[in-house]
Amino acid sequence: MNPIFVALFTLMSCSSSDDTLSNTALLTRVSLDLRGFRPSIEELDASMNNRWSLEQTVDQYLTDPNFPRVTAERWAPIFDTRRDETLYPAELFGLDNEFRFAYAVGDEPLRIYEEVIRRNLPWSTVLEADWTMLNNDLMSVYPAMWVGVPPESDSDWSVARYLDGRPAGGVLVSNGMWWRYETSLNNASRQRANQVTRIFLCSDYLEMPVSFDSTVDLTSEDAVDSAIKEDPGCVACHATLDPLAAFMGGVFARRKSDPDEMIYYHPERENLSSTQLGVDPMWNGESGQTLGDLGALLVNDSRFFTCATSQVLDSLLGGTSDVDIQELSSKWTQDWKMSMTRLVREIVLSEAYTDRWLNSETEWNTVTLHQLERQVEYLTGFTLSIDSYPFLRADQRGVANMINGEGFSIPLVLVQQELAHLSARYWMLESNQRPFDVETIDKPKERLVVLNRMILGIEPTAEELADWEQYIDLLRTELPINEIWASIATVMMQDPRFLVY
Amino acid sequence: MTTRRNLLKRCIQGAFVGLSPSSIAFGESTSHNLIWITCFGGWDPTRALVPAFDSPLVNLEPIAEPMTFGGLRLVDHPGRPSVREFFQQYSDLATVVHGVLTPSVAHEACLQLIRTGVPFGQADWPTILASELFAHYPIPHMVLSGHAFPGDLGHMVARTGSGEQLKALLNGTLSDSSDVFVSATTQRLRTAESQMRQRRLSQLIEQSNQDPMALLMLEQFESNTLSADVLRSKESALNWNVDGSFFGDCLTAVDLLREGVTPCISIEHPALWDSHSSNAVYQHWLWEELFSGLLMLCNELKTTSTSSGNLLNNTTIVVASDMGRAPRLNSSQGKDHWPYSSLLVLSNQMEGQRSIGGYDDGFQGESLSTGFGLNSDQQLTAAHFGHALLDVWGISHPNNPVVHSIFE
Repeated sequence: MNPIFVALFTLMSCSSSDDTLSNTALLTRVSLDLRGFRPSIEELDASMNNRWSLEQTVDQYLTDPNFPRVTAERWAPIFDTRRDETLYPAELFGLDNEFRFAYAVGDEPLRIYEEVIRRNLPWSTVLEADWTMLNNDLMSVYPAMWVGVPPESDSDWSVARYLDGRPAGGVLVSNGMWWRYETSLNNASRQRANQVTRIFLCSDYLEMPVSFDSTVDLTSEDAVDSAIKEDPGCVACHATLDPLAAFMGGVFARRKSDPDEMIYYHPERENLSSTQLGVDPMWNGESGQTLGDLGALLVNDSRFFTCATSQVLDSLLGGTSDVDIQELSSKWTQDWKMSMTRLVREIVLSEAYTDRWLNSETEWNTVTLHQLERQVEYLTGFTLSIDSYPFLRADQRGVANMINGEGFSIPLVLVQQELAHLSARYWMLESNQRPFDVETIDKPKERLVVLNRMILGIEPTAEELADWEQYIDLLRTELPINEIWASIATVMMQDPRFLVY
Repeated sequence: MTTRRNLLKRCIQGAFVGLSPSSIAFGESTSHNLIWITCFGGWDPTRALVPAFDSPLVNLEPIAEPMTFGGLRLVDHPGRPSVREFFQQYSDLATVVHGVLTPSVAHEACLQLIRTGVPFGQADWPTILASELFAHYPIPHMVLSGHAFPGDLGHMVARTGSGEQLKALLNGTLSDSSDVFVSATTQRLRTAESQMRQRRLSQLIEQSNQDPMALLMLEQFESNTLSADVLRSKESALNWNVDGSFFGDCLTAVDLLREGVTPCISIEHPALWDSHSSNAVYQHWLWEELFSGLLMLCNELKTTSTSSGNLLNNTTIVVASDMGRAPRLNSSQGKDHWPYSSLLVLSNQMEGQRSIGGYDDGFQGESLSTGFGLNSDQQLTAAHFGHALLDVWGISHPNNPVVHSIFE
C-alpha cells in the first residue's frame, strides 16, 4: 500500500479497511472542500452508519449556502485582485472603513463568480453578464443601480448594474479587475490583455521565453515598433497580445489621479487602444470592438472552459490527477449545461478524488488561511480582526502576505497557535455557542471525546484521554473549570491535524 | 549516528526537562550569510554603477564624474555623497556585474527572473540556499519586505509582514488589539499548554514511526514549532521594523543575523524605482537613499562582533533590480524599461574592487566570451548570475558549467 495512504489513515481517520478511505476521512474532505469547515459531530456519527452515502452527502453540501462562496474562493489566488489598499482612500468617497472598501473593490470579480455558482447559471455568464455584484460601499462610489433587493447589511452583496454605458461583459467590465491591473500609455493595455489570458485561458505571456535579438536597436522606438511586427522573437507574443489589448480602450484611464477616470467606463474611448497599438481588436481570428465582444469571443474559445476545468481540478486534486481535462471539459459544456456545481460534483464523486491519496504524490492538503478562518469561526464563533482588518485575510495589517507555499511554514504555525489560543478562550469563556456546560467538569472523558471530535473529527485514543485527565488534574487546583476547558481546546486546535485534511 | 530527526527529538526532550527554548542549539551565526536587496521597478545603473561616459547613446547627468577604486569603475555625483562614502569604505568587498539580461520587460516577470533565473515555477536563490544549507535554523529564509518566490519550499520561508504582525504573534499580545474581547492568560498556563502540545506531538510521531510520509509531515511541523519557540525566546532582542523603511529593515536584518535567527534575508527597498518620467530626479534621490542605507547596514554588520570576527566578514550582500533602464530619455524625461542591468555584490568571498562584464555600443550586455573570456556566445543572464552566486556557497549546478568562472 502506498505509504502516503497509510500515513493519512493513521493521522486522519479510523479506517475500516485497507484499500478505501474511511467515511470519516472522506466526509472531512468534502466538508472542507465544499463548505469550508469540518463536519459536525452529528454528521460524523451519520458517516459511521452503514447506510451513509457519499453521494447524498455531497449533494447536500452542494446546496449549502457556503458552497458558492467557498467555490468562488478557489479563484482568489488566480484573480489576485483583493488588496488591503486600493487606488483611492475610502475617505475620498466619504467612507469610514478603509479595509472594507479596498477589499470590496477587489472582491467584485469573485462575487460575480459566486453569484453565477449560486444561481447555477452557465459558466459563460462570468464573461457575458450584464450585471455585476456590489456592496453598499461600492454602490455609493460606482455609477450603478441595484437590480433586485439591495443588501441587507454592509457585509452583504447584491446584484447591480452599471449605468455608464459599459457593455455586458461580466468580470471583464468590472472595476475590480481594472483597478487591480492598471496600464499606461506606453504599455497600451498589454498587461491587461495578459491578465485576461492568464486568468481565463491559463496562458501567461510572461511565462513564455523572450529572445532579445541583439541586432535590434532597442533605443529606437521605430526599430522596436518594427521588431514587434516583424521580429520572430517579438511577433510570437505581440501578434496575439496586441489585438487582444486593442479591445480595452473603454477602460483606459487618461489620468489615474482623477478617480472618475477609473470609476467610469468610457464608451467614447473604445477605439483608443486600437489606435495606440496600430492593430484592430481581434481574438482567435474573430474581430470585435468592445470588452463585451471580447467576452463573447472568449467563451467561444474552448480554452476558456478547459482552463476553468483545470483550475477547479488543480484546487481540488492538487494538480496531480491524470484526469482527461479535455474530456471532462467537453462533458461540462455539452452535457452538464456549464454548471459549476455539476462540474464540482462530478469531480468530488470521481475516483480521482476519492482515491487521490492512494495514487498521488501529494502528501497532504494544508488548509488555506481562508479555510482556517472559516473552520475556526464555525467551531467557536470567533473571528480575529484588528481595527476591522481580518487578521488572516489582510496583507498589510494581517498575515495573508506572510504565509504562502505548501506545508507548515513558521508563520502558519505561529498563526495557528495564537488563533487557537484566542478562539478557544473566546469559545469557552465569552461566546454563546459553548459545546457543553463548561462550568463543570463532570464526565470528563465523554466531554473530551466530544471536544476532540468537534475539533479534529476523530476520537481520542485511550492514551490521549489518560493524558488529558492528568492535564485536568494538574490545572484543577489553579484554574476555574471553564479556563481548563479553554486550555484543552487550545491545545487540541494547536494539533497539526487541525491544519491538514 | 546523529540524524536530523534525532537532533530534533533531543531538542524536544530538552524542552521537557525544563530547558528554555533559547538553550536549544541555535546560537550565534556561524554560517556565511546572505542578504539579498531588491530595488523593484527598474533602476538606472548609470547613476552609480555604470560609468558610461564614453557612450554617445547614454543620457547621463551633466555634473556626474567617473570614480575609480582599483578595478571598480563607478559614477560619482556631488549630490550623492553616500555613494562615494560607501565605496570609499567598502570597495574592497565590491564586485559590480554588468550587462545581466532579464529577458523580459515586464516588472513582475523580470523580478521573478532576477530572483529565480526562470519565468515561473522555481524557488528563488535565497530560498534554494536556505533549503540546501540553512534548514536547521529557526527561520531558513526570512523575507523582511517585498516579493519572494518560495516555490515548493514555502516551509523554508517566513515573512515578517509590513506591520507588527510577527511581533504580536511572538509576544502574545494579539488579544490586546483584537476587535473582539478575549481575556488574557498567564504565562504559566501558556507554558503548560506548550508542554502538553509537545507531548501530544511526540505521541503522534511515535504512532507514525513506521510511516515515512506521516513522519515527514510531523517532522516539518515539529521543526517549525521548535523554531517558533526559539523565535519567541529571542523576540525581545529583536527590533522589528515597524515603519517600513529601508533603514529599519537593515537594522532588523543585523539583529536577526546577530541572534542566529536566520542566515538568509531578503529585503526590498520600499520605493518604486520605475522612473518613466523625471528619471534624473527620482533616480538621484533613490540611489543616494539606497547607499545611505547600505552604508549603515555595512557599518552595523562590521561593528557586530562574532567569534570569527564580525558579521560583515560572514555576510554576502547582493543588491539588484528587476531590470535596468533604457539609455536614452523619453519625452517625459524618464527612461523606459531595459532588459539589461548591473548588480552589486559585496562579499569577502570575492576579490573585490572590480567590475566584470560590460555593455556593447547599443547598451546591451556583452556576451560571455567578450565580457568574461568564456567560450560561449551566450549573454550573461540572471540565471547565470544566480547559479554563480550559489556556487559561492558550494551549491553547484552541473547543467550550468560556465557559471563557475563568472566570479573568478
